[in-house]
Amino acid sequence: MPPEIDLLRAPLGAVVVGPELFASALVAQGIPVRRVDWRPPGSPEALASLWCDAVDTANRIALDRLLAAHQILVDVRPAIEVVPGMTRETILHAGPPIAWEDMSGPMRGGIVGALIYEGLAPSWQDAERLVTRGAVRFDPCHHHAAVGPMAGATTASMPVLVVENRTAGNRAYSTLNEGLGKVLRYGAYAPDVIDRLCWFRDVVGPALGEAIRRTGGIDLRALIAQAVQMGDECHNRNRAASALLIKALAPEIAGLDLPATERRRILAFAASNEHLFLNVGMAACKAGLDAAHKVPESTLVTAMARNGTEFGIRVSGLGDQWFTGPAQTPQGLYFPGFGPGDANPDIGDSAITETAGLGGFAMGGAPAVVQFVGGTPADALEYTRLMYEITLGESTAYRLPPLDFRGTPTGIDVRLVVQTGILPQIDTGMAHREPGIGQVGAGLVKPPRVCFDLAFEALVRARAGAADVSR
Amino acid sequence: MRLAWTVRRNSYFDSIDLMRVAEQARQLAGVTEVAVVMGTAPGRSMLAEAAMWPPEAPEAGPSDLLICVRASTETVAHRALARVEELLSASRDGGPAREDVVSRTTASAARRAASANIAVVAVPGAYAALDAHQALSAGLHVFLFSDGVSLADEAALKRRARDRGLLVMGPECGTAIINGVGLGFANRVRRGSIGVIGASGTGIQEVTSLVHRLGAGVSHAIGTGGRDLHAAVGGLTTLQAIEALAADVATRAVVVVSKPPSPVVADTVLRAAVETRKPVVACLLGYEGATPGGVRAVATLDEAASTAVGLTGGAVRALGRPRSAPASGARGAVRGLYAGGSLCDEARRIVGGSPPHRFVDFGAEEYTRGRPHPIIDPSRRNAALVDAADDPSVAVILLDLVLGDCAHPDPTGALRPALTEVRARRGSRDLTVVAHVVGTDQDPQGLEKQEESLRELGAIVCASNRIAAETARALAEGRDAT
Repeated sequence: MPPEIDLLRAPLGAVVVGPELFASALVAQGIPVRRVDWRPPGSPEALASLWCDAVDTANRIALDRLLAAHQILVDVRPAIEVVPGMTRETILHAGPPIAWEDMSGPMRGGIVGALIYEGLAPSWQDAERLVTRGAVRFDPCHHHAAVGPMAGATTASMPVLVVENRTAGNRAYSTLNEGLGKVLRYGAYAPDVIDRLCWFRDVVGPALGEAIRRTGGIDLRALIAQAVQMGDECHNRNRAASALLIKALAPEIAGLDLPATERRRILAFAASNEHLFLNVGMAACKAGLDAAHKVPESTLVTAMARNGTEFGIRVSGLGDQWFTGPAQTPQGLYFPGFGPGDANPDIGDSAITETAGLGGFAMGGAPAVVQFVGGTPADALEYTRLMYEITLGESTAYRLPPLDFRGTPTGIDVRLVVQTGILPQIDTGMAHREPGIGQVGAGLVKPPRVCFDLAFEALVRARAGAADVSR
Repeated sequence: MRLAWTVRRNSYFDSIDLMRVAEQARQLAGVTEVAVVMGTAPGRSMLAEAAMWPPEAPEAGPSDLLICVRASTETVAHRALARVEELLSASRDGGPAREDVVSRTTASAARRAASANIAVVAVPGAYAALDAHQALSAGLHVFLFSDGVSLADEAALKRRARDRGLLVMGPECGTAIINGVGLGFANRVRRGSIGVIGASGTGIQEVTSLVHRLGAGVSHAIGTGGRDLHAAVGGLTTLQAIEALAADVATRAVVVVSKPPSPVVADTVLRAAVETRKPVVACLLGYEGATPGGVRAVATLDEAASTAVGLTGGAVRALGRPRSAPASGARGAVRGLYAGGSLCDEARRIVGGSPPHRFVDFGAEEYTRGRPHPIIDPSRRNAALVDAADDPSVAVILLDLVLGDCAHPDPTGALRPALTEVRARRGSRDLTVVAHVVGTDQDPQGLEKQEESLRELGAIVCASNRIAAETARALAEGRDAT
């Protein structure tokens, strides 16, 4: 028995897509009307095939899982102990899969640095030999419940943050943030870079792990929610979140069984790093999105990631496939001494923040970020408002004060991106195209549209297949 | 004094926001204190100091929201808790005063318009199914004005809608009146007890405005789209509409209006209508099959209106014949130039569509492709009017004018230049213009004013389309129009 029809019982409220005439006739009769600024989309039939109950249900499940994620920072551990599938020969990297030959400068730099750090190769040449001999196994972080900013190089002995999604029970991982300037994630591999990584491994990692365990876990959902109201978007701006994290950890760090100088050094490093929280937030986003991944037929994007050569996306209903296109070069501001010719194409897993409703999607609450492209707070709001047009829902945790505490646009829908042609807005740092130099600036970037077109085609094919089966 | 509390797990709010909500909830009569705090250590100790979080209250962590109320009675306390929840989840959108990105898709607009329950879709046919499906995904009923939607898409939309308890009115649905609100081309009619279901837009307009003119009123008028009674669609929307009107207490009689239906579907639909146990009037133009017992079958739209008025206890007044007009004496052909498809169809059946008579429906898809409907833009018909005057075999021109929302703001005025031109070419003894105005005294254009202007232009104005067609026929046969 189909459900009852309620139309005749309730007062009318209308959405009008079509001529103004129909809308104004309703307005004249006192009916609330929301108009659609309609433009003819390409492939309307294929689009229509994906607006059906099966896809709606799948998307509701996937979105609910994403919105319900409750992430807790529970530990810091060596990658080899906790990251699934990690081995001594493995180097995880950012973005979709890529071969050494196709890697950009900063990606290669990060990998060479990681090999030097692990003691597997003493120099660039040795590292290259090792790689060409096939002795190193490359794999995307994303295939191991992990995310890494920029090059994202992650190896066995590196300490990783352990974030647990208490709702779904899954965990996600990310390395510790090294700060700005010459750092491994930007492809720098000089001795001081390696020394810092060793200090992380020997001192900072174990200390943070112990401190975090002593807190009983840090509620990242609440922390991010607070940071968003303090002007962070948790991608290019992490000042508030980093401060909140230090605030939560400092008492426990102070109480650790370490020399006072070492405790001071740890706190001073943390306090000096405005992006301390970036990797933590990324792992939190990954923990939420992994829970939403692999819901058959869902059109929700569960990863956007770049390896410095290609931009790739993954979609909940399309399993482990990547849909890739050429990575774009960000538009933005450069540090003194650098200019547009120095920037590498878009790189890093940090677009996981946008995928989860932060970063560029939350820019309206972080107007400082828009200044990278010479924008105003009004422009920042505009970016965020536009993202509601391509998302399935709104965050139930991250609310934007300038939008009267509306939840951030969350859950990118491939169907809406393809229909509107509006691409996700990503905030990002820029790496120098040569390895070893580091960050040269920050700005805004978009994915290439082709990623979404390819994913869309795959979704349409999958739907047609499912429809055939049910027929 | 009563204490009541609740915990909202895992939801962070800014403390300033919480203070505002608490202050607003404190305004309720009988409420002495409201505390809304995060379950952090300071938050909990604050509650403890105020003796508002007794030991039996649930455990709470720093990301839980604690709501606590002290009030005169238990009922008041719970009302205050509900008020806090309401204030916390109240729409966070800035509302229309703030400038906003316009919605680019029906999906987005539907999500933004919390009070919406229907989507009006009037985009080119090739795109219409996408928007209609998005509306259904958002749980909206659909008024689908677009034409050019495939029969397969129509059937798929309607099946999906039925399974979700939603109505798809259309495609090619010109008219509906839901709860007194007109959608598309609709006339302003009195609310009353007659429910109308129609596969034809102008058919519904004619029936509803005649019901109004006869002193009765309309509960709802549900459009179904011209092909709903096609075998491939199986009357899905009509059957849902019957069910909805059966359940509607305001509706005391049901009128079903249709273009030529599939006999099998017509039978199914009429049987379902009888089961409503409400009086049923069926005007299925061109349907020659049997009608089940209990259905009053009528052949014309004005009979449908007057029969329904009679069945709901209204005094049935006869619609007036036109003020006497002299027979032109010039026998000849009737040229029907119509804006309304069903009106054209009805007139053709009365006059006889074969030569020398000729009928043109300017609302048909071939005339509306890429241009507005003649109810909005009469230019195409105006040209045909002048052409008809140039044809010496034509003795009577038969017209409809449609008033109401979305129609031309002054249809008679728009007709004036063409009629003046007709008169310049043919004298009134030689060529008669017969017209019917679909509309009511409440329509923005004003029925009386429109009819009066038409008479001033020398037209014979009839109270219904049926009367107009009969008048035209009589004149063409050289009989007196009355």
